[in-house]
Amino acid sequence: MEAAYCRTTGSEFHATLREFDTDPDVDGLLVLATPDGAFTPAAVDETLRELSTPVFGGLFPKVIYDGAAHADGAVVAGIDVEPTVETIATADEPLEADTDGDDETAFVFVDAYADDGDQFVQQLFNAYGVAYTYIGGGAGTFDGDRRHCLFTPDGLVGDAAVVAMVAAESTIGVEHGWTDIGGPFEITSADGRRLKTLDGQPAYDRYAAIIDAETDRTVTTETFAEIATSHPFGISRLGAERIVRDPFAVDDDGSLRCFGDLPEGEFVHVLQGDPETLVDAADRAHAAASEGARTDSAVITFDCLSRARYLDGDFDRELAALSQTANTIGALTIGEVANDGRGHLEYYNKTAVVGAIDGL
Amino acid sequence: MADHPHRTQILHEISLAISPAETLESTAETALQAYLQKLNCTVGGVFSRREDGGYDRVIARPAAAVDDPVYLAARDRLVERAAGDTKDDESDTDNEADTNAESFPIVGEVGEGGHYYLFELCEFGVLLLGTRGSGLPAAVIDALGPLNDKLATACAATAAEATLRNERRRFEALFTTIQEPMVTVSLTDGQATITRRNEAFETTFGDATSTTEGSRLEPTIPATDSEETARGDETETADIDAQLTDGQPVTAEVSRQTTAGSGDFLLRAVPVTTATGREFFLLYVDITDEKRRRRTLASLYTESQAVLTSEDRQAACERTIDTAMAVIDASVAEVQLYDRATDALTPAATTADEPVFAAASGDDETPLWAVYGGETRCIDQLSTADDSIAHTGPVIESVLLCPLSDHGVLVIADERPRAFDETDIQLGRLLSTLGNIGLTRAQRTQSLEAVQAITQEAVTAEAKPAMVDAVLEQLPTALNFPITGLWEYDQIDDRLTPLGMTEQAFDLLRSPPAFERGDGIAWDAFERGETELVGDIAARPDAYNENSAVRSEVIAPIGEFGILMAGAVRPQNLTDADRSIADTLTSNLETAIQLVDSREELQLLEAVFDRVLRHNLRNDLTVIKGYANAIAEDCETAAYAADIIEHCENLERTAANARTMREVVQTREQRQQVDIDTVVADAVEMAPDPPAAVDISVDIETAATVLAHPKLPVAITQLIENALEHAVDDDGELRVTATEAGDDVVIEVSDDGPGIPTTELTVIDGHDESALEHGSGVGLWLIDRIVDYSDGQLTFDNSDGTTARITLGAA
Repeated sequence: MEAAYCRTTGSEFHATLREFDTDPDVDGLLVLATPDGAFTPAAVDETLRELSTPVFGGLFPKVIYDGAAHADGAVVAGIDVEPTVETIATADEPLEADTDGDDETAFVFVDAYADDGDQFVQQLFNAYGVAYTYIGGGAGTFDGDRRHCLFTPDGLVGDAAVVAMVAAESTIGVEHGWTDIGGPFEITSADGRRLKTLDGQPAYDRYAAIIDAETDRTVTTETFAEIATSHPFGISRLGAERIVRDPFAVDDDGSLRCFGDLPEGEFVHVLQGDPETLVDAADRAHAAASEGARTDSAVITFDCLSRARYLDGDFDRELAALSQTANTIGALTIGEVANDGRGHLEYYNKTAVVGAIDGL
Repeated sequence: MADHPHRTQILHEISLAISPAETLESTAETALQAYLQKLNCTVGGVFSRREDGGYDRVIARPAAAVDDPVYLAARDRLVERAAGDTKDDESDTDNEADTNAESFPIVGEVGEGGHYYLFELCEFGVLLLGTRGSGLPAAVIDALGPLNDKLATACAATAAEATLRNERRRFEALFTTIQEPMVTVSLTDGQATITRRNEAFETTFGDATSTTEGSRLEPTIPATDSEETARGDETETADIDAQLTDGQPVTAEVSRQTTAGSGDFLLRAVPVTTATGREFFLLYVDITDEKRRRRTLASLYTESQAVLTSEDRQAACERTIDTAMAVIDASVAEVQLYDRATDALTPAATTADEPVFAAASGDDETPLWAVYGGETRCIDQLSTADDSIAHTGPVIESVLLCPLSDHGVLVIADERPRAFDETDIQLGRLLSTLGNIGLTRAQRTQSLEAVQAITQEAVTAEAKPAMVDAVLEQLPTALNFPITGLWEYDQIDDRLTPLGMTEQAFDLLRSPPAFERGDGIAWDAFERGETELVGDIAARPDAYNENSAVRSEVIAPIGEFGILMAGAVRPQNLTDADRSIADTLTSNLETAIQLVDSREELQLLEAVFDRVLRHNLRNDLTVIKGYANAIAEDCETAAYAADIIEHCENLERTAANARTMREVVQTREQRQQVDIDTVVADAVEMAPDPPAAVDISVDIETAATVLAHPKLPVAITQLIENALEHAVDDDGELRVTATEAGDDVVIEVSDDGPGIPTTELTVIDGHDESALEHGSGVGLWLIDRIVDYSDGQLTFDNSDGTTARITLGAA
């Protein structure tokens, strides 16, 4: 895999795409771009459709290239195996399981603000199971601006998921490093990603009470965003780390909005982070991905933007842990998708994902 | 390994996803998804157990799991286990310890880090779970039991519900789409209620039947308006209710009122026990048409008798079409009869107000002629058929055409396309056969009557030319011999000479030929004296004219007089029946000709006789009597002359009586009502004066009148004359009396004399005279005839004097 970073998203980006497209050694194009105003369907669709090489990717809050996170520009990577790109736009229709024995890794990018984002992931698992090693994340802007954010050969699309399956083995590391400080608390009312009541109380009130009880901090409308960044919810899985659900907004009725579904009737814990445990988790993720991987494997990482926001000044250490391998590229995502073939495919929050892909 | 609270929490979260859903698949999928997600499994599946011990996959997740090695290994293990189960079942052992089948849960490992688990879903099937990496902790496996039971219950319930739902759906589909009226009735607390009824039910029976009465299970559909039927209906309904209440299905033929009137239905009712109680399904199969047809077929024998015994052809036609409409569901039936005079099929009878199908002339291209030729034809859609039949009035699409032999065609039609099936065609054939027989019989009867009428007219003809004209005038209509001629054998020229022809024959042939000896079929038939039917003249080498417009004919000899020839322009159009009629007619005509000949001769004789009595005999007697008187005056032999004169006078009286006798006979049919006293007075008045010594007494003891021949007084006068001549001695008495005896009037002429000679009375009694046995005059004959023509009785009593008695019925 050969990657290039385009500082501007105008003609340079288009020229880079066409350059890779004409490269006979390039059979697929992975695009990790920042949500610049230039990335609109009108601006890029024509170019995307003209490409003879299958293209896939997304717009993310930041992209990772050369050991740094960039809030602008785009990373374009030419890969040596031809991907099978599929767009999932409807959650109601089951995917046709059409597995090719050679396809072993699937890149999954989901519009983080899609109404059925979790269902897209569930559809993938229902169709393909652990036939693939999945790696990817939620695309979009952190400020909640809904826009077309997924690159496909047909253009830029939104409210969907794009899957690119490649015949390349990979190893995955998925870790978050968040730990329990309280729970379990019953989700007594929820609607998709909207947590209405917790233990029978308005979610915000109950959350504030838990934080008040378990920490030395007090949740107010002013402090909620900052506290929520450091105290997400965790959903239990047998024999696995909790699935983190990141609250990011409060509705007028006291509901909490999260990235990812919170099923009614289930239980959540309140987690807390520590820069050290999080950086250690990132390091473990890199180590897990690197274990058994070839030295020339392409390393791609997707780290949650909210981790970066939480770690703030310590994020450089996490980024360094994730980018230990040279030429690591990646993005800061809004939710992560990963599965190493040993469990259920999930849509994570606040998690660090590293993948080492052979022969890419 | 998860601690107990964590495990409990996870199991609880899984249990939230286990509940019966809309379908078995969705129930299993929702639950399986929770199992996989919460237990961090990579593959899973739910299988239902078949009755044969095998398993059917309900769902597998992910879909690609069917190629996953963990899933495949688990499934194979399950198949093996099922085989063991089946083997156990076949070994027919009750000892569970002997079973080879593995007990659930079954745990297995696959490759590096693959684990599978097969959990029993009691009374339903099996749950398959598979993991990669670390397997499920033993505590979790143990703890899944209650969850699996819950899943088994949910799946079994959903499956059962799905089965019921499918059955219900099937029933609903059947219920709504079935064309026959159908209704369901439920019984709650002894009250029957209609729970559902389909559109056909509402259309057939209307809204008035929306409820049942009390506990009555069959909907309240009245049978008919009649009281008697209503009572029968009550009994019938009670029987149906009793059977249904007893849990027995019912099949019964019932009559019910419908929105269109009334109908016959085959009621099929069945009680069904459901979860909510007992329900009754009632299906009404409309058998109105079938029953009507059955009834019609049952009475077809009677109908056919009516057709067969039709008094005339018109009645035969009308009964045939009436029977057709009764037996076949059609909108119109007609008979078109063949008219030999015009060579056309013309409407003779129709069930419509006016004939629908137009007459077909011989030149028309219509399938009617093919059918007239003997072919049955059914046209399913006249508007698109190659054949066309001219018709007016209602739209006609289906036409069933059946031949009526040489009589014509039976036409049955309907506005619907394809209205007639094979049964209708067979019935049409049967009807046409019946109609043909009826027409033939009626024609024969009518023909025989016509022959009688023609014969009567023939025998009353004054002479043969008049007879020939009368016969030829009648033949076209009376015997359907429009093309007919008569030929007379001319002995002098030895040939058959034409006497006359019908108008149609003249129009067709113009100049009838004379047949010389040996000319054609006609001469041969005349010579043999046998009637001959010629089906197709063109096919006969001995035909007089093989190009004749007449194609078939009957040649019937009239004894030695000549022949009658009747023809038709179509071959095979004249039949054996025509030959038979012609044969009968000519046989009668032969006799009639002889009668006409005899009558002509009698008339001639009568004229001669009249002239002799009236003129020749009287004139000569007058002359003889004149000369005899002269001789008696001048001659010595005056005594002889007196005898001559007396005999002349006798001859004069005899001649006068003979003329009276002729007059009486000629007026033998005349009757008039007269008073007895008038009759007797006239008779005494006309009688010669009695000798002076003879006294005539008249005693009328009745005022009755009698219906008698006008010459009745002449008869009494003759009796008085006879008494004066033969019986009354001098000083004797002659008595004329009239009395009533019951309903009769008795007129007696009595005297004291020896009476009328026995020989005279014997001749009168025998009504015959011969050379050896004859009367002395015509006087007694005159009395006998007048009394006879007056419907009276003449008797003589010689026991004490002579009494002549005339008994007449009082008017």
